Amino acid sequence: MVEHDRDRTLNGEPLDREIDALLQVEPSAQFAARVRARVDAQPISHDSWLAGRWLAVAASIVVIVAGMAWWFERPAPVVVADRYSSLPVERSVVEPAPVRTNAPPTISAPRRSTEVLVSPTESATVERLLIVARNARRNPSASPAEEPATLNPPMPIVIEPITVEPLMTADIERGAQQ
Amino acid sequence: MHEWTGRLAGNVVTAEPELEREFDARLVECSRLAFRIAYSVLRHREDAEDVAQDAFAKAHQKFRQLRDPERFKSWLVRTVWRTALDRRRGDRRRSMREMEHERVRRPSSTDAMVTEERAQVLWQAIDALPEKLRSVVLLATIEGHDLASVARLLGIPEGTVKSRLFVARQRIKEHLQWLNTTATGL
Repeated sequence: MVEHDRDRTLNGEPLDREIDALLQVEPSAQFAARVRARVDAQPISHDSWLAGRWLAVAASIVVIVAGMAWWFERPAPVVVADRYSSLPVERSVVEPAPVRTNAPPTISAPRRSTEVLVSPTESATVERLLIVARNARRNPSASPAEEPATLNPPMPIVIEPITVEPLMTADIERGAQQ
Repeated sequence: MHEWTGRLAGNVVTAEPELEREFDARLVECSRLAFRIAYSVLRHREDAEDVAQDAFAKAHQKFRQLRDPERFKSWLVRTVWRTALDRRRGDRRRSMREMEHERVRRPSSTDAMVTEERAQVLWQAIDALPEKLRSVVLLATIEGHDLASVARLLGIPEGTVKSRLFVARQRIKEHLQWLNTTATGL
């Protein structure tokens, strides 16, 4: 019997046939009916795929509505005009609105230019001075009389010797007592 | 929006009987496949039927996604296989006891005993295979050795099925030869 078995196993087809024979089993006649009964006994479940799709649509709508509400309710950007600017074209500084705070927008301090008040007579004098200085630069020999012809020789510096007198003993004692 | 949802709901309602008919057709078509797969793992008729019925009940819940016949079949095979393995791991002790009980109550004629012994040896050799090889051998047998069908069911190339089947057969033969040698030595 063992030899017979060995011959059977060496060939592929007999082996397949043997495995086929092992699996020649059929479900019972009531199998389909039992499945049907089990299916009917199940609670009516909403189709998860359809439910998931509806959930996704609802979530998208909520997100869009929330985004729109945030967009329209955010504070408008504040425009601060530079009223001290002397340029012909009006420049403006646009500050971004704060994103997540409800605090009022802060306005940056305007740049201050220094104001100098000059009287008309002084202004005319300064203008004349500037004109004169410009002409003098163009013609260096315009006022030669003001410049000295020759320089005086330097005065000798006399340094007197310093003498130090020795201190008296009585003075030292008096100082110690004080 | 209301019109659209109304139309969609109407389609779902009208599609239900059609879905049920399709499901019944799949049930008739795939009952044997599901049962045999479960049986090949559990080796117990009632347990195999229970597992196959469970799988069909799950399939009914997901049937909208499984309307394509090929998709349904491969999903069913995977589900039955996994569920049966889980159950076998869960109560291996009970299965062993019942297998022993079935073996004892079988007719005790000589031929029947030889056939039973041979079947047990063969099952032992199949059980010794790694899961990948075992599933290919069993599915190929159940599907009438249609390798393309096995490839589709397992989601692997046909060449892989062929090579796995070859290796599996070799190992079964080696296992059986080893058992024969051991029996002769005894």
